[in-house]
Amino acid sequence: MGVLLSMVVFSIFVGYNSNTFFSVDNFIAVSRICSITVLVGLSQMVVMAGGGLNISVGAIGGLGAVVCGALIKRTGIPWEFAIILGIFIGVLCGAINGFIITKLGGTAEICWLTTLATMAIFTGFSLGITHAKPFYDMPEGYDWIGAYNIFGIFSLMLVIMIIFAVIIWVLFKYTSLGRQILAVGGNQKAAVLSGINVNKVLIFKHIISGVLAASAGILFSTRLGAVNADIGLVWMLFSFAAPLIGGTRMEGGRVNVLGAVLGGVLLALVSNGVVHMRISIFIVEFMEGLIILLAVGLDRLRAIREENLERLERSTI
Amino acid sequence: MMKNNILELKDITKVFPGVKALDNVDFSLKKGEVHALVGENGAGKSTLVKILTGVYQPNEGLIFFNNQKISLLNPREAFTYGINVVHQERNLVPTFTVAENIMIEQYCEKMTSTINQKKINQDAKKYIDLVGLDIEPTKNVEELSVGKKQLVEIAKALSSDAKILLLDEPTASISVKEAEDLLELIRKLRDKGVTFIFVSHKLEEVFAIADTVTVLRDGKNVKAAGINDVYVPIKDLTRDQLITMMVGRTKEFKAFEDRDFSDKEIVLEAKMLRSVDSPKPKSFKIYKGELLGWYGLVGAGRTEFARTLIGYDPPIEGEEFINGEKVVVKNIKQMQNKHKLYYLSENRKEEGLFLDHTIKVNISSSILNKIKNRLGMLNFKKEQEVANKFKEELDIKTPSINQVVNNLSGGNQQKVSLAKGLSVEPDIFIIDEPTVGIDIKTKAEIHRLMYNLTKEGKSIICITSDMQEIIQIADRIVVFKAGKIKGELKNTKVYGEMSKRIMKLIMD
Repeated sequence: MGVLLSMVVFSIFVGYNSNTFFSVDNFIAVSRICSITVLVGLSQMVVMAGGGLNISVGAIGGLGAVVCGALIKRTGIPWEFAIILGIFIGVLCGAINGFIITKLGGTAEICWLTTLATMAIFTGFSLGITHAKPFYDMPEGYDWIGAYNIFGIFSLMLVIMIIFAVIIWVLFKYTSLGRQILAVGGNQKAAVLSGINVNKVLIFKHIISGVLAASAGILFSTRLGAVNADIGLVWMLFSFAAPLIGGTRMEGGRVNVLGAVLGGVLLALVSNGVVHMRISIFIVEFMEGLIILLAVGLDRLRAIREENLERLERSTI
Repeated sequence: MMKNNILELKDITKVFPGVKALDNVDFSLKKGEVHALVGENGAGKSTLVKILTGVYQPNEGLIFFNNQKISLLNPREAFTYGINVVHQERNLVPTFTVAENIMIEQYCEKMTSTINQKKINQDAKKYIDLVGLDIEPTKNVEELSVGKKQLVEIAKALSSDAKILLLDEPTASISVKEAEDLLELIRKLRDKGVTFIFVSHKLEEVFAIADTVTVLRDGKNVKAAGINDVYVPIKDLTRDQLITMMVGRTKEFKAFEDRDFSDKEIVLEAKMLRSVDSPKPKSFKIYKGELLGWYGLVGAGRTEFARTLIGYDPPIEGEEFINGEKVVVKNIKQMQNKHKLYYLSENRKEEGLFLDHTIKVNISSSILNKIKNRLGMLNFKKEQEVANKFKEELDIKTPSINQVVNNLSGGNQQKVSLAKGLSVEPDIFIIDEPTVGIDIKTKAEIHRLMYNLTKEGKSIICITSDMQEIIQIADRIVVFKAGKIKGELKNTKVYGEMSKRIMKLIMD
């Protein structure tokens, strides 16, 4: 609710100060940005749901796009097939993350430490493949994905993002796997004693996260019209921000898919809005940081207040 | 009020939701004595200890320190009066040296204090010698045995000018030699004027070390026969008198009927079974429809053994039979689904429930496999049915099965735990401490439920540290001590006789 309100207030504020903010062109621009922020946010959210943080979200996105680009430019396979293989890189990276994490004990700490390391490794691969030089002149069909607007208004990127978001929503709402991820995040010990195969769940959640991240990377490159190794480099901040703003619990066990989507949209609005207001890029980073602090701060305050209430009850009854 | 009482508690009452943990309890402590605090599990000892150390505040009652009325609002305040708890290793920073741990209060007093490592080591040495430790101050605490860590704790307390030292089960997990040394140290420090509160289950220790004793039972003081005071010099008591004071029953005692199962088939049997966490080989068996009680003190190795049976910590030696067939125990899923053996943790909040999730989601968490279709989609209707069925059967008091479990009372949370286990439809159900922290009414309901389950032909192993409970409900009782099975008793359900027989096995 708060997210929605912030979005409206922020939009009105920016719209009041700029005459180009409320326009079809800008709507398309925002929806393209937000399709990336949301996918990246969801990628992080899936890992958070099961307890843990995925530092390598951006690196997987980069590697997915790079592999896709390299296949197109160097082997000449059809671009559709290259995209599928690029997404498969997400599966692979996620499986690697998940496998290492389960072998090292499967705790939340292991999770972020491992993905911190694999972030560097995946980025290293990206740089190695591209030799730090971008791939230009992608096939027409490839660029079309990032450029096409349905009825001239709805960006295809936005539609693709919405499809992914719906799938993730179904995952957590209706499927056994989603439920098991939440159980592991809610209480890993209890999950073990409930006969849930925790290792399997951890690996699966990283695979899903990897697919989302790689898809975001590829989608971003279709918009860019080029592929380079620094795709995903700056994703870390909003990957955390989007789900946290949306009410996902950082320790796991509780997600809010719609919230994460709205969180991603809010972030996109902010980064687009400040451009319209001709504010320096420093302020963008500054505001994104502030938004996370606010989101996390409010969540913590709520938790602390609940804890204090409980303590009070225990001591006075 | 006696003049030389260093600490005195008067008419302390402490109520938790649904349970009166302490009921008008008096407790007094003379300077320079060793005062034992004894009682059964659940008698109110730990609540009293927590009041003494400022963790809990009493609902009623007064606390006097050197005849001055005081209140202990938090552990910090208790500390300033010189009341120190010696935990087993819990208060130490494992990665710090012995000296750093002992002197931590001193050099952390001010943010701006500078640290003089040499001085810390020198100062600490004094206290290390005082407690009779033979270690270098620069040694890391994590390298020490539990017993030595405990001595470091005592040294730490002494360095901060402790007047009253509270030892809670100090010898529970240390070697015999270390225990003897500890008792010797207590005598030495007592003679120097330190006052001790000594909480222990081991009567031989109590008789060896204590000057006086306070006995609690069901949250009340117990007076010795012929002595009209709750403050009892230990020399006026015999061992049997003390046991009677501890176990004599005050609450209504209604046992289930006497049953014999020895002609029924055996559903689960362990032969010299051992695992990493349960290293001493143990054997036992349970019959179909039987309610078997596992009694022992906290830390006697019952939970560890249960976890071996269910495949959480699979056996490394010995044999496990289910329905007469030898089973190779691999993991929990296998034991749960294939062999219908389910374990319910004693630690509801930490290992049993998903507190942030709803009742429905908790109950279905063990049967997600059974309520999904081939695509992995959950059948919400079925989930709802199962949850509602158990809500009715177990009488879970809640407006809706969509209520978050964290909002329920302890008793209802335990019912959700039970429902979660029952949803798997186990044939053998191990329930660890089913009624800890639960009000009397729900406790009776849970007992009845367990009994009814055995009537349906299910077998139940009930792990409990509550003497009265086990004699009320169990058909047979297996007694654990220090990781071993000390003996097995047919439960006659006669309280006086059984409680003494169990105590004898434990005290041996």
